[in-house]
Amino acid sequence: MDWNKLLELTIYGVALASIYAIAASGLVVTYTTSGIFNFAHGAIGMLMAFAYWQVRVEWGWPTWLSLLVILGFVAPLTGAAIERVLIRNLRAAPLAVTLVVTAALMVGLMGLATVLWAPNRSRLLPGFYTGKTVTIANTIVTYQQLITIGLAVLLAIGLRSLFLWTRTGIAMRAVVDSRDLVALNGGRPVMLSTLSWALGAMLAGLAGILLASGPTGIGLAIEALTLVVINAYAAALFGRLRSIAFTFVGALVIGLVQQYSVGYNLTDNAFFNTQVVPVVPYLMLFVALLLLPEGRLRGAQLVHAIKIRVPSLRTSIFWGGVLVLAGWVISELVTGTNLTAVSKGVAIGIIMLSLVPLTGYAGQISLCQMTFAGVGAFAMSRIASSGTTVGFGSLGIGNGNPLGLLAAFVLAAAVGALIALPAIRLQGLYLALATMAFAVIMSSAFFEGGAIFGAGSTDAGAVQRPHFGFVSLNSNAAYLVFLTFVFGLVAVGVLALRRGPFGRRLLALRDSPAAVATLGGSPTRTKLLVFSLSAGLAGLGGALYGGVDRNVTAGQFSLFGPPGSLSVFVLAVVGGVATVSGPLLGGQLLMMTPVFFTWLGTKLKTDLTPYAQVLFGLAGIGLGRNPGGAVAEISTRFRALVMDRTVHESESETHDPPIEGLLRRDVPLGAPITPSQLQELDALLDLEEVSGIGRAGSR
Amino acid sequence: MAVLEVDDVSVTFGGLAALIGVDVVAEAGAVTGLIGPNGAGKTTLFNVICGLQRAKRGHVVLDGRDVTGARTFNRARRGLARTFQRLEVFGSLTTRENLLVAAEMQRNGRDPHAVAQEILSEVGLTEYADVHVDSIPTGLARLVELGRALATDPKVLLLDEPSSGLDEAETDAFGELLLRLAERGLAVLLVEHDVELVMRVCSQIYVLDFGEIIASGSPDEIRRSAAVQTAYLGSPLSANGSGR
Ligand SMILES: Nc1ncnc2c1ncn2[C@@H]1O[C@H](COP(=O)(O)OP(=O)(O)OP(=O)(O)O)[C@@H](O)[C@H]1O
Ligand SMILES: [Mg+2]
Repeated sequence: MDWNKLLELTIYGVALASIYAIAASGLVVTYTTSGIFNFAHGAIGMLMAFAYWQVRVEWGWPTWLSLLVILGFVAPLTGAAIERVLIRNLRAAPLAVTLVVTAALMVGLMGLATVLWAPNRSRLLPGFYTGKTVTIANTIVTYQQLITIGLAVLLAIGLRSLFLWTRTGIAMRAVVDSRDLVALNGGRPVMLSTLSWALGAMLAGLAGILLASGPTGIGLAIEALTLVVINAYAAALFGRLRSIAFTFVGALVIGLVQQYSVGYNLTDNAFFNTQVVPVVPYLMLFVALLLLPEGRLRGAQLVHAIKIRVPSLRTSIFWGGVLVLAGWVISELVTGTNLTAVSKGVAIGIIMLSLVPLTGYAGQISLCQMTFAGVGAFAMSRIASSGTTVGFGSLGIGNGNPLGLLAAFVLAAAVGALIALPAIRLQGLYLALATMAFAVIMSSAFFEGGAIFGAGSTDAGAVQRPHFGFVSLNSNAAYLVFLTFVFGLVAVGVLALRRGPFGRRLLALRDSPAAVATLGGSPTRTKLLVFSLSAGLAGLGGALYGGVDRNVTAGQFSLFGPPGSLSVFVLAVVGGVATVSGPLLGGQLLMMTPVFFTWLGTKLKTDLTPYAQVLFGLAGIGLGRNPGGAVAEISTRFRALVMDRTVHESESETHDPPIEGLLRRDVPLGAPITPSQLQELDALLDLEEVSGIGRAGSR
Repeated sequence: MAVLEVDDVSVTFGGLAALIGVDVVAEAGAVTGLIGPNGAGKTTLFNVICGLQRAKRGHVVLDGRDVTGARTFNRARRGLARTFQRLEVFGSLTTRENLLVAAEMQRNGRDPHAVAQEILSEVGLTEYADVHVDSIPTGLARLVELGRALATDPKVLLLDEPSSGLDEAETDAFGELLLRLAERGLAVLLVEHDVELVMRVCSQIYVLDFGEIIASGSPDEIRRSAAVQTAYLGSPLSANGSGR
């Protein structure tokens, strides 16, 4: 046993864990006080690291001043501003809406970073006290590592005393359980929530700066840095998003496991070492999910009703026909790269249709639809081929055999069911987290590295277009018509589903899982079915998407893309996932906006392409609150114009009296916070004793 | 015959004892009342019975079978149905669809659409059949919940303040409906603040106060109980206590 190596790896691991703990406790603080999970936490950390680089390196400010300005002002103000502008309005919103908004924020912030710091040059952040070290038991420890660990320890002590001893801290904890109660007792929940988001952003920023300047070698890369801060989410899950103590424990476990697996080559397999080891924290996130106890069934939430008319079979077939006709006209008019972009838009539209049953009807969230699309493309490339592909081998049954599409659906559906299993029994938030982790894991450990699509070291590979006897899809124009036909077919199918028993069940499940269970339905089974169906449809869409270029790359099926799962999700919601026309619009927006911006950029002689992503983020934030999306918004307004009625007549009526959640805590208003309630809060937050994991009682 | 037995159930929330050793029995073919002041633990007891709330101690026996550890939907499949005090209707579905969702989950071979139609007229909602539930008045939404529960063809029906939001005439009609249901062999457990209604339709009444059953018996016995008057009015009025 090499003790020195062990000690060295342990110190590296603890230092890394400290950064995770800092980032994760920021996440926990915002979640406990505002009740809203901030998907954009990682992006905020990334952005602050870049901002720090700007003042420290580009403008050459001294370190202390740079830190003070970024962590003392910029980060807290950013956090507070986000809370003021976006989060405050989301208090009573359903989970799906809050997730859409923070996911869109993430897209927007990453776009903003690209606009401000175009990735056309390398940027390096100097470490703190570079070169200064101490030697502990023959092991060299850098000052930076010591500082990092020290900061985490200070933070742990600070947060603990804040929560245990100060009025503000106690109120912070109380706020999440009953904002009204805290208000009645003189606390100012609104103020507290702002404060906690400021603190959260500061901690994310600190973590971002430490990661980018540390010896980990991540440096300043927008996506990589965001993903590494997201590593910390797994730590927060160990604390069940509530307990600071367990979050620190989780961070320690993750940091150590990651460093040990880097340091001790577990295998000689290069693929394992370069592709699997980096995603260890995401694998740990799955482990944390398995450890989570099943929460209570949620009751109904206060939501603005959406009443979207479901067209009859005849109407939907008619519009499907119109769509195919339109596809034919466009295929005659448009050529070259524009034709390709439109076609990809329709294929992405099919992938987005997979979100209609899942998100639009059942209210569940998936951030890995492009992963399923990639699985579908993989199936197509292997099954519908002549059998010469490399890597995983080939079951080729002939070039372009349409059975490849069936295989794409089935394989993606099976994979979907498998990954949903650990999270589906939990609340929607955990499913969303699991899908995000899955997207990252699959990108690194499956699509990249050349084994799947590529021959040798490239990440790209061929995907055949399906081929139906006498009908030739060889021309790009014909393929577009075919894509619109499939879109129409899937859309008609999704609408038929909505009119039938399963569709009703999905809406019922979204409205009140608790009620579904008391009627004899298993929420878990229904969710599993719809998730699997949705994955299958995304797989089908992915196989067809691959056919547009007859070639795919690993990056297309990653979380960030392009197109990427995150943007696919956000733009599907922007178009509107409660309707089938929403995905059609969303797909075109996703593919055509960059085309347009690039064109405009050439006219204006500047690079405008990154602005497309900022726009996506803004659109998602703006429309995330309207589950009908852009299509519903436009059609209501249009109908209002045509029929000369007020716009909001049919939509967004609040309930009267409000239908509130049955299982929301029911504390008598006006009563002071009693000692027993405080005790209960402590128990909820695991601040009392180390008996947290395994205890029931999630919100 | 007792189709529902609650045996020595206790629940605590943090330091607060919401239920303390509660025993309740509901007979088939009768309406059993459960009354008590606000915060007494009535809704909590319902949540324990249907499995939405785990009890610290005690058992729930449904139709002769111990279902204490069973999941909510499995209890429902054994014939337990309920309504909610805070509405849990499927707001984005129509009244008919609400009933259909329930009927479609049953595996008794009956046509869900026929079941839904029959129940619509039974609870008097035919007029609202194709209206989205979140735009109908609360009182009627409670009837939707009742109809939805009935669509599961239950043996035991738990009703949590079903008559609030109904006017006097509607409440009378509702009382008649309850008696008809009981006549059909259902065991109904009714939580209700409208004591008049409870006295009229219930054959057995339990009184819950601060998580404990402080009295039980026929409507007459309850009316005369000193403990009940203390719980409701703060002090016993008179020893033989035939009321105000
Ligand atoms: N999930 C919960 N967490 C903490 N305390 C709870 C919870 N649910 C209920 N309580 C508390 O338990 C007690 C009993 O509540 P319950 O809702 O069962 O009363 P109830 O008899 O139905 O009252 P009401 O007549 O107002 O409906 C109350 O003090 C309530 O505040
Ligand atoms: Mg109640």
